[in-house]
Amino acid sequence: MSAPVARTFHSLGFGESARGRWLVPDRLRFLDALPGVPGIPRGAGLSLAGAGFGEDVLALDMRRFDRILAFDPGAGTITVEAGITLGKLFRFLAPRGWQIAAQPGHPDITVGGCIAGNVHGKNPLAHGCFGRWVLELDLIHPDHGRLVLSADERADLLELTIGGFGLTGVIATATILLQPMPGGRMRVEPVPVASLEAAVETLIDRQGDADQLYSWHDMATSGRRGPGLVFHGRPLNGPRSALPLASYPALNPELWALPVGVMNRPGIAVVNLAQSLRWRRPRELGAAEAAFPFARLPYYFYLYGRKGFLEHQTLVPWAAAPAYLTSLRRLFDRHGVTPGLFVMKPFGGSPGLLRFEGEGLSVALEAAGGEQARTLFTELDALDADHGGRANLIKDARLPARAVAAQYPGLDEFRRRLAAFDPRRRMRSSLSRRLEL
Amino acid sequence: MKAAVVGASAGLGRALAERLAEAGHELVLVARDSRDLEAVACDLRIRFATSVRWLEADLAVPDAAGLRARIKDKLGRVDALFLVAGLGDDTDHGPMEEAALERVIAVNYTSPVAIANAFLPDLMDGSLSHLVGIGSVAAMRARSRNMVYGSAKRGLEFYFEALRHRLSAYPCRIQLYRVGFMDTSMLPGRGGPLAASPDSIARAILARLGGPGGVAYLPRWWRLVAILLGVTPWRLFIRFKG
Repeated sequence: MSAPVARTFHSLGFGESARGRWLVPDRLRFLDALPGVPGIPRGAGLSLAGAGFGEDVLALDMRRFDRILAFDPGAGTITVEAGITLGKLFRFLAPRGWQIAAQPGHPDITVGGCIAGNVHGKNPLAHGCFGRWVLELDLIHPDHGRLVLSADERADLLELTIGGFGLTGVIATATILLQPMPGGRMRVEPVPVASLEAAVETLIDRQGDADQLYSWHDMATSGRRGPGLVFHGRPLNGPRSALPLASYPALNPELWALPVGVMNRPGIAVVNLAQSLRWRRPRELGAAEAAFPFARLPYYFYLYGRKGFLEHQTLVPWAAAPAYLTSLRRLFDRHGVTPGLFVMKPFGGSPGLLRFEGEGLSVALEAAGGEQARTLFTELDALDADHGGRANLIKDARLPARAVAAQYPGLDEFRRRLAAFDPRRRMRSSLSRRLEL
Repeated sequence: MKAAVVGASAGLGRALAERLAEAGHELVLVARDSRDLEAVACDLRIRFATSVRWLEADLAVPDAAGLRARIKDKLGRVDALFLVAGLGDDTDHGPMEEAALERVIAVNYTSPVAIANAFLPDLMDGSLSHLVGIGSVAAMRARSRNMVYGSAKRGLEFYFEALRHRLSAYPCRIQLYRVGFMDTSMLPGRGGPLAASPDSIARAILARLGGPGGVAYLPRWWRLVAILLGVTPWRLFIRFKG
């Protein structure tokens, strides 16, 4: 195997960058003797935060380890190497009538990344986050060797590894509980709403019977009432013949981002207009299109330009949501920032440690990178804490440690358990440095 | 078809095994890393429901006759043999440690030649129809990088051409590809935009199986580079370093 290559890494959106080294092992023997410390496992590199790299850190690209090791259609479980992508899994599972319950929207994302970030899919209310579906893991740590983690064996380490940002070691394999695929196609109904508050009511009303439920808002209108659409998706009871995932353009902002961003207020208005024209009536989406909406739309990310964008996602208790949204509007006006994307969804799952889970409303927004956005986001941290909200660590590239300390009661326990397992702290990343994990 | 892929644990060999399994062929995978062979075989069996077996062999210390016997023991007859294993070395701009140098020569030259030689009777009696070797664009024109690797690959080409001459009256097909930069562990991220995916090369090799014998470039446009390099005067060529 060749020596590591020096390179500069960027998070998706260019929110966090670092100069580190990159190694792409393709055989298991290379994982037996990991060269040098510190290191961090890396998947597709599509995280919005600097979780898969760090300054002077050896990033271990795990994507060559993408083999399916066992499949049990009776029990509905699959064992895979963690470098496998959601797209490759989809190609295997869909024709056999199975799917991953909670999966994020791009097919290049790896299973290891999903576990390390404990990511959510399009319906966290019903399906929770990725970790809920993980039955067993094999973890490789330079000091501890290869360890099996499950509910019966080292359950506490399994808990720490799910949503552990790769800091407990390299996730080598995972056994995942699958979900039967309901039907081949999904009918998505766009319900027009006049404001953010109206969307909250619709989201609550429709919670009972939805496979996908989230709202999208145009925040470029004057007054920022946030007219938009609530997307309500239900599977059609058609034959179980999912269309295969067609080839899709690569997502590579480092190569393709526009030299100068166009996601200013007029630009955002154009993008929003296109979105509302596209969704004038209900549409039927193939299973692949419904699972991976971002596969066909890498261009969206390029519109922000080389300065990129920042994303922030907050989970606020339902009771605090109206007050939170009102304050949010005021913040946008005061800082003159128009979010290019504003999405809300009902959330579920069980919180703990640093996990972005729990009952409440998730509010996610994206804004073009720059001083204004950074200042706004700093105030968002305080706003979140005031309303009992918690920010998603894996989505915000500049979230400071003090904000996490104010929002997550589990922070100290996470630090204590990680230090107890790995006193030498062999795994590090830009994210772990920033959050002092 | 029954096929054996030597060097199937990673990179191009693994990609070839995958495309062969997808086409429903019966496979034997050969490489040094048994854990990876087991994982690759598992993956292919589960995804393509085809027979995939594997053999552990270190090509730095080849026992070609023994390997032939073991392959035939698993498959019965072999229709296609792919000699894919290759090895580069970061110090191959000299001076190299002797052990590393010998290893590069063994994996890239001695062992594929010895294996092809061991299978010569099968090529002559018509049971083995396809022999495919993997060369490299590093063998286009000698440079100060990959000195031993390029020489070994050039030697392998020479042997394959000799074999093709020797077997011209037989129905078997002898093919060798000068493969361009690939996105594998030999060149992680270094091939830049010129790097092809092992999967695209594997598809091209299988599409040409049974096609014209001899040496060809993959991707095809490397032939143009070869022509230009060939006519580059020495005074200019010596500047191509780094």
